[in-house]
Amino acid sequence: MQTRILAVAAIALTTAGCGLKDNAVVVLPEADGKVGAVVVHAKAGPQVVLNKPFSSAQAWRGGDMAAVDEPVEKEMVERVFRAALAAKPMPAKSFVLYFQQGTTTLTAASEPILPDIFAEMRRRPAAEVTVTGHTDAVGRGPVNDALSLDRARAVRDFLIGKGIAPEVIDVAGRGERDLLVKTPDEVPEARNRRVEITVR
Amino acid sequence: MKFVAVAAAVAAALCASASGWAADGDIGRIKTVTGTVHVLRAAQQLKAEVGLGLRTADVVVTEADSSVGMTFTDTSLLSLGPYSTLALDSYRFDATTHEGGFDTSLSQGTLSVKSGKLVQQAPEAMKIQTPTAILGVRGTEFVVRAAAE
Repeated sequence: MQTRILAVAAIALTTAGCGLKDNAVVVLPEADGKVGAVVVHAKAGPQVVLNKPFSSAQAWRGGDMAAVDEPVEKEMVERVFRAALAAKPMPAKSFVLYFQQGTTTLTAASEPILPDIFAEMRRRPAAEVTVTGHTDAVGRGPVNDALSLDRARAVRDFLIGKGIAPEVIDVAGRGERDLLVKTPDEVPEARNRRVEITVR
Repeated sequence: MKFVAVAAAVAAALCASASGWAADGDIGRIKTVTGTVHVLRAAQQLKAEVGLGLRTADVVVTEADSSVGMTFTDTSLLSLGPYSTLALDSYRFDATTHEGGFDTSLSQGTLSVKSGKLVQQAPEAMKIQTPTAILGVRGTEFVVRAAAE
């Protein structure tokens, strides 16, 4: 009888992921140690902002996520979430290309980046690519939106010419929204006139 | 002769959708699968395979000893462990402005998340509903566990 109780307790502890409640959210540090934040809007009580590495909000089944910011052990996270963490796809990787003024000919400095892009695509299952055009701050916003989209489309054609399947490429024009080098409006800056290729 | 051409076209269309590259309406794609994973879409139960496109309203379900990893067009990553059910309730991502929203519901199981451009653009643009709370994502990496009520 006693051994059966112990066995049941042991199973309960194991399946409960001993120490972490049935419902939990744990904020994790990124590779560089930085951490974002998750806001927990529980059904009752004030919201909790989790913004420290391994901070958590937890609740038993049928309960409510209490406004308590409990730190959890890294090892516990790795154990309870082992399968989900192992199934994570590779994070997206971006490459920046520069083209000779008004053409789709890569600058000399950008040429060697192409093989890196193709290698990145080869190492990912079902790889996809987003080509995003950017302008500098010269010209009106809507004009730059159109210009950057045209540039992205031209680069898309260029990549198709290099053997990448059309259906895995999508395009976007971000205009002057994402200045790599911050300048005041209407200031030309060659380093901003770029195309970003993001592989996911 | 025409019948053969039509049949070939139909076969090609079916093959394209089976391989997952029907790009219109795809909000994301499956990149890793282990074990038994399905995507419930309308009245269908699709076998989750690497390359399958994902759409709004899809429900991703994993069985015992199974897991799945997904990327979305805003570069966010979501992955599930075993015995998990995640509904992709709504997804909007404007590639020009990075505005939009991504709502999911984890009714049970384990989920790992790395947020992307939607959240970079607007905090809490990504929301995850669980049995005990709604999570507003400000970034970037976190895990969620849910127990079915």
